Amino acid sequence: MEREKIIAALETAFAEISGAEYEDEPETFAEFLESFKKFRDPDFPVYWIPYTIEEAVELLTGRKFGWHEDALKDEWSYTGEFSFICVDPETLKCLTAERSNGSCTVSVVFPILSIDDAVQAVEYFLRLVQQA
Amino acid sequence: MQLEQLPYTEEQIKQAIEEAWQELLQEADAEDYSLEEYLEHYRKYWNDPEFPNDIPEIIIRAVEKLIGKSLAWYCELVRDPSGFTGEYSFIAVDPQTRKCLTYRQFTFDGVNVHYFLSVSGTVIYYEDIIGLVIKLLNKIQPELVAE
Repeated sequence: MEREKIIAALETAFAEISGAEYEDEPETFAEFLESFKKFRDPDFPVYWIPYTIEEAVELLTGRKFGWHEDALKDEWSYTGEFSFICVDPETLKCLTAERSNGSCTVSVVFPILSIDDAVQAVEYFLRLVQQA
Repeated sequence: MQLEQLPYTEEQIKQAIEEAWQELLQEADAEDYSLEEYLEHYRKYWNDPEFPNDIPEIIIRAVEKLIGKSLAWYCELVRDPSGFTGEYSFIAVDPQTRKCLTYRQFTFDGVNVHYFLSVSGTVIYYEDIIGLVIKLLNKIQPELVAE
């Protein structure tokens, strides 16, 4: 899928999630990520980031999924990494589960500090949905 | 605690928790002390980032012992702005089928469907560990049978 289409879905999703769609001069998702990267403010609504990714995936696939997300932290602040678990509600299959070397991991972790990182995360989930 | 729907007695559940605890002690080469003693310490220091948190490991091992199967797990220590809340969220996946065993869906308003992947519970006392093991078994056991 083209990058522009993914960015448009991310911006639409972010406007819904942040309430920016009701503002006169709304902040874009790209700007939001820039200020997250700069300040890592502990009071930052950091979960808007994974929610935006998830909503963009659902907008682009036209489907709903079960999600679990976590904003990873070190001793001081958010690291900028997010773990995601995605389940297909029709099959109950955990799309993010992966088996390797005899063990199975349930989540995937992405650093999301820029719009490019966000696009890559969305592309990854679109591939997972396609493969499923 | 809805124990009657499960093919286990409370004694078996306590036994599995105790075995899981003993295993952890052995693996850590730690001196012998009871889970009750550990929980006293845990209640004082759970918000200390240096405090090792063995609670999810005990719960996961106890569940796996009872169902006789190893699962893939994701566990989150739930935090609010002031730190760890004492609540744990568990997501269990069957590694063979990749089926999410802790999945639930709700329709609060009759229209919008909400999906939840995890089973959560607060652990403060020993009874809370038993309660959370039972809660997980109540969700996981029927899903495994249905596979």
